[in-house]
Amino acid sequence: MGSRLAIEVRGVRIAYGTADVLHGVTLEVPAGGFLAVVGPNGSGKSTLLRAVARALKPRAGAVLLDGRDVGSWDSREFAREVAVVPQHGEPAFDYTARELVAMGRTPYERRFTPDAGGREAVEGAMRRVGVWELRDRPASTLSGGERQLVRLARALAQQPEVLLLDEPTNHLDIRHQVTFMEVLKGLNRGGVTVLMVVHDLNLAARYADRVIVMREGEISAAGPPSAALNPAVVRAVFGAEVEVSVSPRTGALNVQTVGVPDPGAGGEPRVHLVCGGGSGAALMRRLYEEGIPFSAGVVNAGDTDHALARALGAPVVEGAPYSPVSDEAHAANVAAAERAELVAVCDMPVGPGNLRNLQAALEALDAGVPVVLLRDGPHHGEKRDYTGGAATELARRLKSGGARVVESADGVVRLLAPDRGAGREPAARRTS
Amino acid sequence: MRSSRPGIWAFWIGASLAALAGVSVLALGTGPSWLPPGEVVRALLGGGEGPSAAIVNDIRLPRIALGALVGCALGISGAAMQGVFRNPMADPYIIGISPGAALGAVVAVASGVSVSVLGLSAISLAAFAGALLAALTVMTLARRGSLFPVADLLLVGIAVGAFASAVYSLLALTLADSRIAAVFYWLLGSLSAADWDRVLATLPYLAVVAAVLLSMARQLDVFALGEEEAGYLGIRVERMKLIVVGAASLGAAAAVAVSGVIGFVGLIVPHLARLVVGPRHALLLPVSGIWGATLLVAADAVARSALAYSEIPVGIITALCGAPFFLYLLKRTRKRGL
Repeated sequence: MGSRLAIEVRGVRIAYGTADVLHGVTLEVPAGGFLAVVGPNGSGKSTLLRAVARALKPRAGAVLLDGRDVGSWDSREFAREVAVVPQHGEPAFDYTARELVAMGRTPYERRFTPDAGGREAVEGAMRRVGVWELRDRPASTLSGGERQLVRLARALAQQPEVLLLDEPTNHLDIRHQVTFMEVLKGLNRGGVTVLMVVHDLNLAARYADRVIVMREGEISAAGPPSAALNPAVVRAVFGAEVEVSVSPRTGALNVQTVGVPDPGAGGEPRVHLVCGGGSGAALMRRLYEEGIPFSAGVVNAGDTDHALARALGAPVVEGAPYSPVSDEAHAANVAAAERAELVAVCDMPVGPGNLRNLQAALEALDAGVPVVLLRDGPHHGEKRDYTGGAATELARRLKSGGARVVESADGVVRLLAPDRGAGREPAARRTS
Repeated sequence: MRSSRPGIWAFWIGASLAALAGVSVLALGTGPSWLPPGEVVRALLGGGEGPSAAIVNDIRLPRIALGALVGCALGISGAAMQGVFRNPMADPYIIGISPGAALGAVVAVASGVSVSVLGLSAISLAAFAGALLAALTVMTLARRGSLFPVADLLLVGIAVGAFASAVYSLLALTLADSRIAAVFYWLLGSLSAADWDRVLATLPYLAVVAAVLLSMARQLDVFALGEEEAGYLGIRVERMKLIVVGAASLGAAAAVAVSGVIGFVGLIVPHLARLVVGPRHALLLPVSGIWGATLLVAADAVARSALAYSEIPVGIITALCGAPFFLYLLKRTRKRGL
């Protein structure tokens, strides 16, 4: 591998029949760059890739590789520099994995001279991708993921400077997807220029150093992932709400679709949740799925349970961030709890700030509202007592007053709608 | 499990040639007077005397040789057509070659021309011309700019074939009964007119066709990935289609000219060979050729000797055995999910 090659696309227009599919696309992938092209179906991203791969001729404009129009390259010479991993396509006949990978050597083979280094290149490519063990297996016996890895190995056997990939990880399970992308990233670090058309915005965000967002044959945003994939762009182009965040663990950019939920099933809340710090998330989601209206309190603004209850359209008794529960909020909380058919105390850490929430549950129990203690977390209530025993004492009083312990969100649902529960968990049991 | 060791290639070619030799010796012994293999070999080596040597070398050998050449041409052309069309159901006649050849033959019979060139009868020459004309017509009509879309080749092939069939059927209606018999016999495929002139006339075509197709073996492998992907691997797809379809058509036309329409050899042999030796064309093409030769020599021996009082056109034998066997293969491969 010698000099690194850059791709330039200059004002390319491509027509199928009479209608243009690409309306003058201009972009550049610097040598050693990693560009991801995203966009909804029919936005022209695969067409763009095929134009770069010289499978389609532009009606206007030009695609340059290393400064030369791709159409003017000799086809074998081009295939030694540029490898394409297409989206699908099964071989018509049942070649073995190694035979398929060896086809990547075609641009190096001459009719009467052996391809020096061909065998090593094939073996090296297969080992790198992790399919060497599959070498003698006919393709028909390989899984879809394995076949895609074989396709990648074939592209590697071409020893290209540039890799073009068309939705390469479609239909791959997570393990094959990770293998595939890690190999690709490794190649890119080694200097191979990558242009990848991809559906999954997360893959684009995580692996590419530049992202292009296409819409209706035009580029509608371009730049580093966090800039190009901002929620406003994604909403405008894909018509979907997303949340873009940075993973606190890996530093990777996460693009998460936010299904726009119908806010609440409406009606009076039947369950009041005493929760906080994410402890109510599973139950809220489950209640939302079953269409059972609920309320929550007291949850501080900024708490994840607060945000989730709001997103799901549930009424929330709100507290001020980082402050103990006020008298006013406590009163509202008790009122909400007493209006419900059931109070569910979630598996939350209890400190001096939210101890009053347990008291609210106790008051509701005394007023005749059944209370359940949800024990679905890795810790159980008693072990998350940061009040020097006050919380444990309250929990004991709740239980002795008739509160049941329930092992899962599903158990709570079953109490309210006996025919709806999904799990096999034993129903709530009375403890004393 | 298939292996890619080079020894495998030599093994299959060697074994296939040995089988062809064995079948040929038996076929040379087969006929109105049975000659044991030892006597056949002696006659071939010039050691025999009297009637045996004459029967073997002058009467039966040209016919065996012609059968081998025709079978070989059909086998190789079939394997190449299946490769380029990416379809194991393709055969060497797929682009209208057999109706084209038939039309040529009927025209020759109807016009009563009796020229002969290099020992080839007017029927052979006209059939050859008809076959090539049909192939050229199909390739011209199916062409879109510099592209030869496979679907268009198949559809145009069907249409041109149907047109040629209609024309020769119409012409055949105008023929006298005696002439119809000649046409009919030719349409069923037969090696009964074999002689050295035909062998020598066919040989150069087969040599050229085999050499061209074998040189495309590697490209044909890559072609199995699909045209677009083959292009990504540096193959000049349209040029290659033109060369392979052209060469395979020439091979089929040469075969059909001297033997009439012998079906199923070019369809079944490559199919069977692929199941046994795998899809790699460097091995598949020669093996298909040799097995095609072996099959046709054997089928012709049966055709010559099955009925005491007359000969059966060999095309009937190949179809009789070939069609059920083909159905069996089809069922089997379906079951394996290929």
